[in-house]
Amino acid sequence: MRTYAIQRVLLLVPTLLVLSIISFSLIRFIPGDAAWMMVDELGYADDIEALQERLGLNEPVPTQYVKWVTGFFRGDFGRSLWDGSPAVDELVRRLPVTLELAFFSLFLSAIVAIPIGVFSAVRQDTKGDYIVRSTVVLADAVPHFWLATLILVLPAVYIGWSPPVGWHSLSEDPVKHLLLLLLPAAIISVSSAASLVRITRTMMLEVLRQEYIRTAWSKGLSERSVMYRHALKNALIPVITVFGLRVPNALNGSVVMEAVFGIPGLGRWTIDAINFRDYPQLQVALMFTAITVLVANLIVDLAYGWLDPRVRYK
Amino acid sequence: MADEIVLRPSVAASVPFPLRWARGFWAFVVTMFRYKPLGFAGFVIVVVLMFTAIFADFIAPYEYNDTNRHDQFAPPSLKHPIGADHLGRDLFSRIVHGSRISVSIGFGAVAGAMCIAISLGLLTGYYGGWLDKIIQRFVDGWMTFPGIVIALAMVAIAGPGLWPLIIILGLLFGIRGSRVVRGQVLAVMARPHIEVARSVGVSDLRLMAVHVFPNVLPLVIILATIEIPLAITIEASLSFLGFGIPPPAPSWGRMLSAEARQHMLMAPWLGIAPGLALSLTIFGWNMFGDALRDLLDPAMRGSLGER
Repeated sequence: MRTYAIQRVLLLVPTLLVLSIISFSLIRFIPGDAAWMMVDELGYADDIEALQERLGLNEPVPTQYVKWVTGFFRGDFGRSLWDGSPAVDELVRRLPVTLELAFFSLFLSAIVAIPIGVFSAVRQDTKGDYIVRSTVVLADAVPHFWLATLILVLPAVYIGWSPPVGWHSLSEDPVKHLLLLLLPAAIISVSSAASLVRITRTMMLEVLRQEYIRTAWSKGLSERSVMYRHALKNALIPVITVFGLRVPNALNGSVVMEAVFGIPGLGRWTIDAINFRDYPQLQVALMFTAITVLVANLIVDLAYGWLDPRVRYK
Repeated sequence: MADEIVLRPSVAASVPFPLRWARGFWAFVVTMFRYKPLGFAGFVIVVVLMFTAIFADFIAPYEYNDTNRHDQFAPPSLKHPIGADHLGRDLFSRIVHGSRISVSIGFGAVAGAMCIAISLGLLTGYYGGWLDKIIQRFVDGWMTFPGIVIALAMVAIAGPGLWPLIIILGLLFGIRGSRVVRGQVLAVMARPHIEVARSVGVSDLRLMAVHVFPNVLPLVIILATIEIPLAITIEASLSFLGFGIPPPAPSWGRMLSAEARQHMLMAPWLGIAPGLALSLTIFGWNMFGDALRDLLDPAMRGSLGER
């Protein structure tokens, strides 16, 4: 297990390097840098070259890249071009919010989807199963943002109530904070829940056909014991993979939900950075969104290796 | 859901791998209708969508941008079957015209994506070596970025609009898809017929085109049906965020955006209709794709869908 874990972690190094290159170079192609915006649109300075020099935009691109990457090892992620504040300060405020939203939604989808998936498999081809399957199919087709729009608009029109929108930080008011996150997290969780129900059901059906389940039945174990101790435990292993695969999706969802519900997370930060050509900010935002996915994948792989010894010895 | 339907052995034998292309389109439709009712429903939705997109000018009673001061927020009526928006534009006509965007994004982006995926996948899978190693690391990094986030950054580069979006989504899915194609190429290359072809001195190019590519094609088609609804969703999400297709083009996502939301309080149909159109489209593609996947290659069920 240890060798496997070390191998997996070492594999991250080249990927991280590639991530930094993509995050860095992608945005250099964006036409018009921040200095242009400051001079042309806002009249911050008269001389664009002086401003570019002050912001460090005049240096050759490779030099900028090396500076940026070496800064990483010192915990210096660059400064915002607009207010000069270290990008890392803002990142520390924003990243937890997005992580919270994404993992809250995954948690919600898991606690809803796994029991439903088990139910649907155990009662295969009954009315209940059909209802679950059709709901899953429909849930898969509804985009997050439409669901959010409907939830914001319809109650407001017909019963004069609309869900709360705004922001309270965790330290400020934990209860309100969670209540505010609940709705966007629930909306994001819908599509994840759909795929989790599907994989749980498929895996349960597969496991229930296995011989050791027949043995368990013939030993006279209760349904509960067969289902939960023997079947579910084994069926859930592949479900973990799907869980990992849903992380990018949860992040996509949180970009949209942050915009809709005014949540100050990484997604909103990314959008702001694009609008203001704030390279250091965008680089850091892109980089850490990707790192979140990378770390989630790592955790899933390690969990998989831990749960299923066959994986480690490949 | 399609992954539960187990094909009867006789069916599995009669509808094998490349679907026996020669048996033709109608045989395929009939098979779909008999064994995959949901998939057939999806197929019908997709066909209706394409029909709507092609004949939008004849179906829509008005131009998508015809404003009419007197019909501001007009509720559904004979004149405006599903109402009108804040400028008095007929919502039905806008949604009908919006199908063009959806179809162009779906087919355009995915056609581009398939070209990239096939060429990159064939090259890296066929030749391997250090170039393949480098490209694969790049693809690893690329796939780590959540779709909407990387697409947002690319919209900032290419600017908004239909063509830039088609290119962006084509790149996004093309690079991701190359990984899948490469995997299949490696699998095909291990088959004996490749060695036979090599031993009689078939050139690399011919080997790729004649012996490898046809074996990758079914997978590419499956990949395409999975990516079309994804591309449509991402376009709608970007437009919703204000980064997709600029107004006055009737993008369904844009019609649901934050600016439009204030009008929905006056006219809730503005919030319902575009979303329904979008969901129905995605639903149709999903169902059609699932059924196609089961028919083309039952062994691959559920292994590609998540991304």
